[in-house]
Amino acid sequence: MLDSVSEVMPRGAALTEVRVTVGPLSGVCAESLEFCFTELARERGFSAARLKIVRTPARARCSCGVTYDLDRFDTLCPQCGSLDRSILAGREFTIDAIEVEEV
Amino acid sequence: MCDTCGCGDPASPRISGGTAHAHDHGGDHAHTHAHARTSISVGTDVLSANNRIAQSNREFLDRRGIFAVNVMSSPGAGKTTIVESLARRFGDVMAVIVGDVQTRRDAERAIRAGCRAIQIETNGACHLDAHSVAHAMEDLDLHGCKLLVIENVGNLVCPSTYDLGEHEKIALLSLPEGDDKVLKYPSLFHRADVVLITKTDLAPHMDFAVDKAINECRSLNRSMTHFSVSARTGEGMDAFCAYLAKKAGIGAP
Repeated sequence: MLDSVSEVMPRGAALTEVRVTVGPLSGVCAESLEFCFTELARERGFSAARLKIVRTPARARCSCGVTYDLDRFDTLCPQCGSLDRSILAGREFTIDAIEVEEV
Repeated sequence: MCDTCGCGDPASPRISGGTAHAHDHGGDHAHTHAHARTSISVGTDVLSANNRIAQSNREFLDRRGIFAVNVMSSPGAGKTTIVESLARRFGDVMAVIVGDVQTRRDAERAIRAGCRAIQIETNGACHLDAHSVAHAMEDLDLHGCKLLVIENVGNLVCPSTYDLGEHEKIALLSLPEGDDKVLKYPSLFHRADVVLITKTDLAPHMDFAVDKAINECRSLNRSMTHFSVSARTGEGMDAFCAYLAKKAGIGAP
């Protein structure tokens, strides 16, 4: 993640924020990410950087036709109670934007 | 194109917002003000570096007509024993890349069983990644190979999110692990193309309802294929090998 940030950092700027989207089905533990970010960012020289995590809902289309939001793999269809569905969204782990400050 | 951030290139990050201002700091007045902050859109997948190498791996394999599988499971589910069984059947059209934290034991078992193999010792990492697999493929003689079996580190969590360049993911679930395990590790079973129920020879000693486990797998991935096998007795191995052979474009062993 910090490699990608380093690639887009303008020269002579300080990193102040990294905004990421973490989907609930991405396999990423947001709390662990927050815990590790500060220390690892400091090691890279990004001592002023904050991590902002945007959590988006996952969406699935059930075999009964209903599309619904879910935040866990084992959320049942609200219409028919089934787990038989296709996952449409929720596996994202993206860097949406960074905020930098002139120094 | 701007040297600093590449603006003007359609693929580059977009700069927006900010409170840029300019004024003279000279003179003897004193004031404080915030430095300009600028937001830069990025929009990249965090695992993009791994995914780029994985795609390169897949293209390398496609050029050589090699079908590759990423075999994942908890430690002790039978990955290496299944690999040995496949090696005895497929022989020199098969190659193996195996990952463990330490030792070369599993690669040595595959070689003794009759196919070429190379070991990746991660020395700490709990999963393989595309970069280590790319290097392993450089060091492995793939001449005449049609089937590449990548045996991942025993772990039901982390391997699921690292594309290695394989064509299909195979998840193992052994009878002693219990039939209620699937939803405990949803990410891996959601991404598996094939689920292999292993150690079926232990059925008389286990309370394992295969239908229950398979239904839970299907709830996470409607299009998955499954086989029930025992490497020890050979039960189910013909069907599994025929599946792999068809995918690899060769005759069933």
